[in-house]
Order: sequence, then C-alpha cells, then structure tokens
Amino acid sequence: MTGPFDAAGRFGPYGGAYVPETLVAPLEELTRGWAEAQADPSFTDELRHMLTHWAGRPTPLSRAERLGAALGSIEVWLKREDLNHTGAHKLNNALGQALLARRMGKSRIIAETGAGQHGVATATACARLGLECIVYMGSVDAERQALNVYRMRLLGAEVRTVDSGSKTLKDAINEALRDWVAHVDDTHYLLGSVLGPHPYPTLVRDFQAIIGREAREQILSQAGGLPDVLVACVGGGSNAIGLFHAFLGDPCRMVGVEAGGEGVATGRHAARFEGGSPGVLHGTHTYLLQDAWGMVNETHSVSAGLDYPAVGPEHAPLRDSGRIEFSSATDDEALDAFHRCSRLEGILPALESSHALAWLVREAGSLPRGCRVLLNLSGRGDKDVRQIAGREGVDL
Amino acid sequence: MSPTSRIVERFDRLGDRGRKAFVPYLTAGDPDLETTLALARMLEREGADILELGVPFTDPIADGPVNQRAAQRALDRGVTPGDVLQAIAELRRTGFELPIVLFTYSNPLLRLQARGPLEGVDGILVTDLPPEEADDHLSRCRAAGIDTIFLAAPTTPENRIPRLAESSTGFLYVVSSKGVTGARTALPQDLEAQVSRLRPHTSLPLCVGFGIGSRDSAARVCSVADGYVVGSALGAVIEVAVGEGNDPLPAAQQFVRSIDPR
Repeated sequence: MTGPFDAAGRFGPYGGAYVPETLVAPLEELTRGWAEAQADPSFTDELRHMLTHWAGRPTPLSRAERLGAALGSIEVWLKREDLNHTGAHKLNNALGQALLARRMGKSRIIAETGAGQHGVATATACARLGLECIVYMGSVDAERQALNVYRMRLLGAEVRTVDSGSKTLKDAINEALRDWVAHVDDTHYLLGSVLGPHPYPTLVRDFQAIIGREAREQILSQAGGLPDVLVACVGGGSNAIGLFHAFLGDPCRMVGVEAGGEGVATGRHAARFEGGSPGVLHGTHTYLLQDAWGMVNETHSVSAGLDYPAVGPEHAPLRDSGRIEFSSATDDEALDAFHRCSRLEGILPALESSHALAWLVREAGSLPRGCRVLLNLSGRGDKDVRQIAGREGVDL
Repeated sequence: MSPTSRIVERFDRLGDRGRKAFVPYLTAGDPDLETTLALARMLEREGADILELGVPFTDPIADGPVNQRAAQRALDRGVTPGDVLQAIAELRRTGFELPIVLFTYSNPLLRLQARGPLEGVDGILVTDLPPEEADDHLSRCRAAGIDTIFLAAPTTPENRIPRLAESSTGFLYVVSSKGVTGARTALPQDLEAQVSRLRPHTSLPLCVGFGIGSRDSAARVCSVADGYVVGSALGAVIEVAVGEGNDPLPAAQQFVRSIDPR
C-alpha cells in the first residue's frame, strides 16, 4: 500500500495526518504546493525579499551583558524575534504560508489565534498580499487580548469569536478546521505553529528555521563559536524548533521550556511532556494533556501563547531520545524573569519568551562560568503590559 | 473474517427485500445514558436498521454545532467512553438486536481499545482516521470481527477510492457534502454522481450521511444509495425537547416517523 501520508509527515512514531476524509485531498494539495514552491526560485526570492524589506529580517543577535553578569558571569545572547515585524517570530510563518496560498490560487485565508500574535501576523500578511482573512479566536482569549483583536480588525481581518468548549486556542483550532472542511476549494488554513496534520509541522518549521540559520551565522561571527546551550519556550513549539533546527547536528545542549502555570503538581499548567502522554489531537499524534479516557484537558498559563494542550510532534522524538531537554517555568517565575529582562536589558519580553528567560534565571547557577547561552526572545511584551499591570494591581 | 457480521447480515436481509437502510445517529449520554437506551429501543421499534452511537469527545472537529452541544452535555454529565460500552452491554442484555456502529474520534478510541474488547460493537467509524493512519485499527478490528467503516468525501480523488473501499467492511459511508455534520437546507446537486462514481470500486452497500434533515432528502438518498444516515436533525429534536424540560422520546419518535420515506 502506498499513500501520500505513508511514511511522510512522521517524526518517529509521532505526527501523521489524523483528519476527516474531506481534508485529505487539500492536505495533499498543500504538500505538493509547498514542494513546488520550494523548487521555484521566483517564490523563494519573493519570500526572501519581503522578509528583508518588509518584515525587517535578519533580526539582530544581542549580547545581554547585564543579565549575563547578574546571573553569574555567563554569556547570554538573545535572538531578537521581538524586532521582527508585528513583534514576534509568528510573521515568518504567516508570510510564508500567505505567499504559498496566493501561489496556490487560494483567495481566502483562515487562521486560529490564542494570544492574538499569530492572528495579527496573519492579518498583516493578508493585508499586504490582498487576501481575505478570517481569524478564529476563543471568546475567553478575545477578552484577554482585546488589543490584538482590534489590531486584527484595523488590518482588515474578520475576527470570529468561538464560544464552544473551553473558549480558548484549542477551540479556535476546532472551529478553523470546521471552516476549512466546508470551504476547501478557495480557502487556505494558515496554521500558526508546528502542530496539526502533515504537512503543517514540517511546513511551519521550514518557515521558522530561518531563525536558527541566522542565529547560527550570527553567533559564529559575533561570539566566535557555537553556543553551549540553546533555550526557547515551547507552546506548539515553532519558535523553539525554528531556533534548534539549524543546530541539531552541533554539540549544543538544547532546552525547551513549557508553561508550568501554577505548578505542574496543581494540575493547572501546560507542561505536556511533564504532565501528559501520547495521543491524537488536531490531526497529529503527539504528547498532550488528557484524562484516562482521552478527553483533552484544559490548560493554564499566564501566557496565552503557551496555553495549549498539545506539543508539536517533531519535539516528541527529540524529547524521547534526549536530544532536547524539556523543562517548565511557572507563571511566577516567568513574571520575575519578565521584570529582570526589562530592567537589565531594556527589552520587554513577551510572557511566552519570559518562560525561556525564567529557566535561565533558575538554572544559571548550575551552568559553568562563561557558558555561552543562546536564547530565543521570540516576541515582545507590549501586548502583555495590561495583563501584567492588572496582576500587580495597577489600573491602566 | 469470523462469522457474518450483524451489519452484513442486515444488508443481506434488506437486499432480499429491496429495501434501504435507515441509520439513525445518537450521541451517547445526551442528555443521559438512560435516555439514550430508551431512544435506541424506540429506534429499533420504528424500523431503524443500524444504530450509530457517538462517543462524546471534547474536541469533535468533524461535528457541527448540534452534535458538539450534545457531546458537551454528555461530558458535563461525566459520561466516559467506558460508560458508552456499558450502555451497549445493557442494550444487548435486554435484547437489542440492531447492529451498533461506534462513531468516534481517534483519541478516545485509542484509550477504549487499550482497555480490552469492544463487546457488543459491530462496527467502528472513526471520523479523523483515514486508511493511511489506520493499520493498527484495521488489524485490531479484523481480529475482533468488528467492521471498519470509512468515509468517502466529495473531495476524495478517484485514485483514493479503492483504498477506502478495500479498508471498509460492512458498508461505505458517503459524506454528502463538504463540511461538518449537520442538516443542510439542500443536498448537493451532484449527490447522484457522487454515489455512482463509487459503485465501480466496491460491492459494499453505500450509506449517505451529513445533511439529511427532511423526508425529501432522505427519499432522494434512498433512490440512489443503499441507506441514509440521520444524525444532527434527530439530535436537534432531542435538544429542543430536553431544553423545554420534556422527555425527548415522543418528539424523537414523531420525527423519525415523519422523515422515514421508505
């Protein structure tokens, strides 16, 4: 038996395409479309041109001298995805997929969003390329991230709030998949992380791998050598795999940091590796938070971008083999790291990225003196200011 | 495969009489399992041929709003896939003879199958499991003598149909139109063409579902296919009755009588 998905889209036992039959053909079409686009210099040239002259790439690699000194003479380098257009790494993928969709003749783009960063990036790319854009967002998230909802509307997108289930990211994905099943002919589903059915985990990783390619070149030239440790936060895991991918063959330690919420022991968290088990959600086989009957659990994190019950399937075998270590940081640790980075480096990091910083703050003492750490500062924290003020009792 | 399955037997009998199959769908546990049992028995009395029983799942991506809400009500009551199996056992203990097809998603099914044999289940339809991902599922079901029902969609390319047909036993489920489950105002114009393009690839009975909510649409399906599935339209009747604080049984019975064109 040969089929388009046999052996394709697998990361060891993980990944695959567990989808309704109606979506099998569109996913095949997308797989083919991506293969053709990659081989077409006019596509790759246009993407590169837009990333450079519109999105602002390459993003800098900044030495965080004061943070490094405060943590005990380690060498900390920040990959500044916060300086990417729209303020996060999300645009790398949104722009790439929007260009791909246009090339494939799709005029209507749908997307899901949690914190709103992927929704904003998608709305931005669609505005630039003249594509219709509909963003699904859980009503709880829409309320938490009202600013991003309005940003999307300013960019010409339609935001549809989702009231089913937990009313958060996972339900927004459910609704986007339902929309896609009904409108496959003219619609591209612009999925925002290395999740979902094949080819998305590979496709999104390919668009995000530019982070690591740039960072590897930059650190070799600016620091004169490879990093000892790479750190990134992991929601779906696109900024992490985007950074790590170029270094998989190098002797670097890699750490992915999940959202520990109120502490893994409390059950209110989004630490899929620590608290979850393998299963199938949203078309892919991976680690997820679920009960004994396979019902998907609700998650908790101060950071909406990490508040999702499954992790990208490519991370799963890398975790099983030990190539990537996974850890978690709690809400409180992330907030503490947010303040340190703000005051010591003059960068307000996104609460998502603050989880990676929190790991570094906690573990710095166990790192050897002079240890060179490369951390993906995946987004900027302006979007989180109101929420942080609220938590600290400040009414803006 | 072991002795002729209940599903095959049922279609053989229908074929002898030149009759079409009526395949109603119930979300198990909506509003509670007792009511599901009563509804199932009513459907058997009213001439249903196969019962599709939906396993409530937290993330039903292939389902429209009616079935989503039904699943949520069942989950809110704490109904688990294990409870659904127990309800099936109870039906069998009390003489329920219709073939039962579990309508489920991959994730709860993985958990169910890991716990032991699926007693009383005659077929399984997994909404998010194309044959390419179904090797384990197929070997488990073959060994247990459970039919595996796959879905053919309007978007299914010609060259995939043989694989869907080879992987299916019992019957092949024809998805009438693009989209999630739920009644439509009209079935697609090319319904007949969709069914007839499948015929050369399989001798299995073809049952059409997704969007059949009226006697007219059921009659149109019966003129071309071997059976029709009614899910959300029945679910909506149950939802309304329950919402009004009534026993859904009489309303559901009346609805079934009104929609069955045979």
